[in-house]
Order: sequence, then structure tokens, then C-alpha cells
Amino acid sequence: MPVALSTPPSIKTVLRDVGILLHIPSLMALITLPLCVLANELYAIGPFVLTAIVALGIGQLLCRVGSKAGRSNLRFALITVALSWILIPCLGAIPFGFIALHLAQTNATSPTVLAFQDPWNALFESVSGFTSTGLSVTLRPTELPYSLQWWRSFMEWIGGIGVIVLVLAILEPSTDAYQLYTAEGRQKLIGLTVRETVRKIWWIYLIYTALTIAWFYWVGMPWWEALNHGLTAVSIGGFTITNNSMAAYSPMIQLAIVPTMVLGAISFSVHHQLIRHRQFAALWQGQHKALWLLLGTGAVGLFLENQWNDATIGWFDSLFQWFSAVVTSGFTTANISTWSPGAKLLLTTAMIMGGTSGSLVGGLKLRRVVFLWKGIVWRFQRLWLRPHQLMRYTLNGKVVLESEALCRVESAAVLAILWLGLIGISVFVLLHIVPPEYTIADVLFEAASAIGSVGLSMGIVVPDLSWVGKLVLILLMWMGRLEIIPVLLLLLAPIGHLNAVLNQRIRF
Amino acid sequence: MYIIVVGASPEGSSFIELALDNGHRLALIEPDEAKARSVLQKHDIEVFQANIATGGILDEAQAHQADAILAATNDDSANLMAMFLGQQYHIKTLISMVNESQHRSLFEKLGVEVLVNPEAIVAKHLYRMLSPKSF
Repeated sequence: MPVALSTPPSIKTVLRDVGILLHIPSLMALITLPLCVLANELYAIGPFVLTAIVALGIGQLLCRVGSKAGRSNLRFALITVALSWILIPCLGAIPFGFIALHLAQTNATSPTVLAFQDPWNALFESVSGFTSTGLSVTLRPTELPYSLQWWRSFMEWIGGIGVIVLVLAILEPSTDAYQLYTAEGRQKLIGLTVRETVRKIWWIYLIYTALTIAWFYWVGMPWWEALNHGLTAVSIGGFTITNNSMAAYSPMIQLAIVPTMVLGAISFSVHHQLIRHRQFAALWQGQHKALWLLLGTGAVGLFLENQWNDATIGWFDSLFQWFSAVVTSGFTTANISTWSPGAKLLLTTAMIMGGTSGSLVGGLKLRRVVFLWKGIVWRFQRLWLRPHQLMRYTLNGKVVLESEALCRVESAAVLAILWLGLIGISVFVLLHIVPPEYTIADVLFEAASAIGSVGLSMGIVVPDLSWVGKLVLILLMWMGRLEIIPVLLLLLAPIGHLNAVLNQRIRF
Repeated sequence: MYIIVVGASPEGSSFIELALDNGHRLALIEPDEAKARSVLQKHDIEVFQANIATGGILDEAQAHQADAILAATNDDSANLMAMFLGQQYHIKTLISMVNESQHRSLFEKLGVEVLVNPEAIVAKHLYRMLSPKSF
């Protein structure tokens, strides 16, 4: 149906676009069905079919409701993204809940599965998956049915590349593609058009995933583990199907995992420059320079801190956890909850900063960290200026206008303040809920891990955590993945609407 | 050599480029913000957004260290003031553009090297390029 260009966007536009996006979990559930048969888990077919039907039904319904709605603009696109990123995980929670309910009727079911009878646990796992965070309420992943192991990895893989990008590449969008694309926080365009860019991102992602799975298999993981960990490594997710993350593997395999994590922390535009044009210089510019510096100096710093407190912690464990925190992966090779508060704080800082923007990582992203650093340098340089002297602003070797320079610093600072503010509020709430053995360093670590889409854990996330704690962490994961502002727009939209309605009442 | 340029006129800007290429240190004094910024975009030099008549502006530009001062504005009174101030700071080389030829003697009394009416000079050069055949 042709849509009139002039029709202004409305709530129906949002509903229609969310409806389109809800087809994705439906498709994902259908893709999972053959695996249920292959793994001889026929009881899992019901829950996945249910997921597919519910997602398809709601999706179609919303599309019908908004079929005549106008095109989206930036504000509505942001609201669409925020709304779908919480609705899709709600649908993704269905298989966990229903499979757990089914298995609870048999006798020999492990507590790992039984925990998912609680809807909060199912939702938590699903949100963690679709935001590719990796915090998990699964006690022992090896005891999950194969279908759920796969579902967790698959959610992270899809969540990693972004449900939005998926839709742009596969479905014919009636929304303004560019606006949806920028709303998702990946602003630097690789190609000329958005569709083209998305297709390229998608190809790079597929190729890297295939290579990573093959690489893991080649270094010695069994193929099922290579497949699942390949999906969660490339998407910087962090879910594993082993009971103690990557500590289950030999040092050789652990070493092989490090480069795959770093790959995901490199911006897609740089990946493209490397593959197409062999421009290795792109790896040493702006935020990527900051990435290598952060990875290098931080790993040494963390190693020294660990040596200071507990000399039994090896250099490789320090390096692995540091890399995992910076690239917001969430794989671990050691029990970091026993590390010193200093080491935990170092890792927390890394998780807040994250990797480069335009890649799959979470966190504030190094582009913003570089702007904030520049802001500090400029502030001091301005103090040194003589009264009438003008300031020269350079970014990445290019001279920029004062207005542009200050605008970039301002937007980075606003997000950093929101980020730290949210961490502060949630730490305050969580401190009242968690068991007394957890210190403020542990709680800070957990909150930074959730908002940064990391997934490293101090052990606070367990099935028995009260629902308030799970809710706080779910909100952090949701807001952090979308860089807060879309979620705030969504939450504030009803207030703005209410104000408008009230004002109209008063006028007439 | 440290050279202070007063005025980001086309002549002043071209001078800055030339002097920078020859490895000199430069400072620019220009009251118009847009012009001052456009020079700053191109060249990494000290730029002061001020009129030459602003009190203490040559102190700011560290004129006591300067080896030369060039006045290149389109306003002869500003140029003359720059030259007067330059003399007071004992800057060795004083150079000025003079827009009205009748002001020439004013400048020369100060011991300034002058370039009178640069537009007329350019026009003369251009006129000479006409070959006699074209008449």
C-alpha cells in the first residue's frame, strides 16, 4: 500500500515499525525447530512454535493497525528501537519459561532448568541475550537442553548485529532506512547507501562468524561448543555452554579466543577498509589508537595490580579478563570475584569505556572517551591563551570549527553523565538487595557490566536474586545497549503527550 | 624570524603562507572573527582577534620579540598606527601596505618600507602583459 509522504509520523508509525521488527524472533524460533528434532528434544517444539506464533501474531496485528501511518522521523525511529528492544526479549523469554515448565513435570530435572519457571529469570536471560550482554541466571549451562543452549547463543548473535540491521537487509522497509540505522548507534557509513552498508556489515559479520567457528573447531573445541562459542564470541556476547566459561579450556584454546574478541571491537568501517582496500593505517587512527593503548597499558596495569595482591594469578589471566572487559565480551578464564578491589575497579573502568564505536561493543565507546579527553586538553589550552588569542581545535589531525568541537565534547559529556548517573542510582538500589558479603566494589562492577553489555559477573546475578535486582539490571542492559537516549525518549513520550493533551484542554 | 602580521587581507594571508613555507614564526592580529578563524583553519599560528587599536594587543603578541611587523589592512589609519606602535616596540623591520598614494610620505617619515596601492601595481603588471600587437 503506498504511503503518503506528507503524512506526519504518529504513534501508529511506531506500532507498525515495531510490528515489522517482531517478525524477527518469530523467524528465529522457526529456524530453531529443526534443531529440536535433531537433538531429540521434541518437547521443545511446542514452546518454540508458540513463540513463533505469538511473535508473528502480534507483529502482523501491529502492522495492520499502522498500515496507513506516515513515515518515521528520527524521534519516532528512536522510540521504535527502544520499544522493540524490550518487546523482542519478552518474546524470546517464552521458550525458557515453557520448556522449564514442561521439564519440571519429570523427576530428574536439574535446578538450572527449574529456575526458569520464574518469569523474571526467563526475561533476564532473554534481555541479556538480545542485548548481547552475557550476564546469566543459568547456574550450569551444560545442564540446559541443547535447544536452549542454542537459543541463548542465537539471541546474542542476532542481538549483536542488531535486529535493526537484520530487518533492513532482509525485509523491504517502508520506514526511512537511514533513520532507523542511525538510531541504533552505528553512525559511520561504510558504503554509499544505507541498504548497501547494512548488506556489507551483514556479510562481514557472516564471514567472521564462519571463520571463528572453524577456528575454534580447529584449535580443539568440540564442534557443538565451537558453534555456540563462535556465535557468542563474534557478537561480543559472552554466553557460554560450559559451566565455568572459558576456564573449561586449555590455555592454548584460551589464547585462540583473544583475537576473536578483539575482532569484534574493531569498527565495521575499519573492517571494510582492511578487507577491501588493505588499508592497515586505518587501525592506527583516533579511537582505534586509543583502543590499542587501552588494551596494552591496561593489561600491564591489571597484571601489576594482581601481582601486588596475589602473585598466583598468572599474566595470561590478567590479560584475558582485561581484554574481555574492554571489548565488553564477558568471557572469563578465572574467578574474578576473588580478585582485589583494586583489580575490580580497574576492570569496572574498562567496562565503562568499552571498545570503539561503529563496532559490536557496548560501553560509552572510545570515540566519546577521546572527545572527553580532548575536552579536558582544550579546557587547559584555553586557560593558557592570551586574552584576544583564538583557539585552534584539532581532531584526528583535522582542524575543526569551535562549534563542532564543543558540540562533540558536549554530547559525549551528556552521555557520560547519564551513564555514570544510572550506574550510581542502580548501585544504590542494588546495595539494599544483594547479600551482605558483596561490597560496593562488587555491586559497582555488576552494574557497569550490565549497562556496558559486558557480562562479567561478581556472582550477584543468580536465580535467587530478588526480582527488584533483576529488574534494575534488565533496565541497565536495555538502556546501555541503546545508549540510553532512545529509552529516555520512550519513557518520556507519555509525559510529553499528556502535557500536550492538557494544554489543549486548557486552550479550548 | 618572528613576524607580526596585522590584517588578514588577501595580501596578508598570502604573506603568511609564504613566510610559513620559509620557516618563520608568525602571529596575526585581525578584528574580524570569520577572517581570523579561516586563517586559523589553514595555518597553525597564533591568531589574536582584536583591532590594532586595542590597548596592549602588541604586548599580547609579544612584540618585543618580533623582528618584523607587516601592516596589511585596507585602512591606512590602522596601518599607520601599527607602524607607530612597531616603532615604539623597537621592531627592526617595519613594512606597510599603503592604500592611498597621498599617505605615502606619512609612512616614509616613520622609516617604513611601503608598498603603495597594491591594486594599482597588480593592474600595471597585468597591463604590461598585453602584447603591443593587441593595439
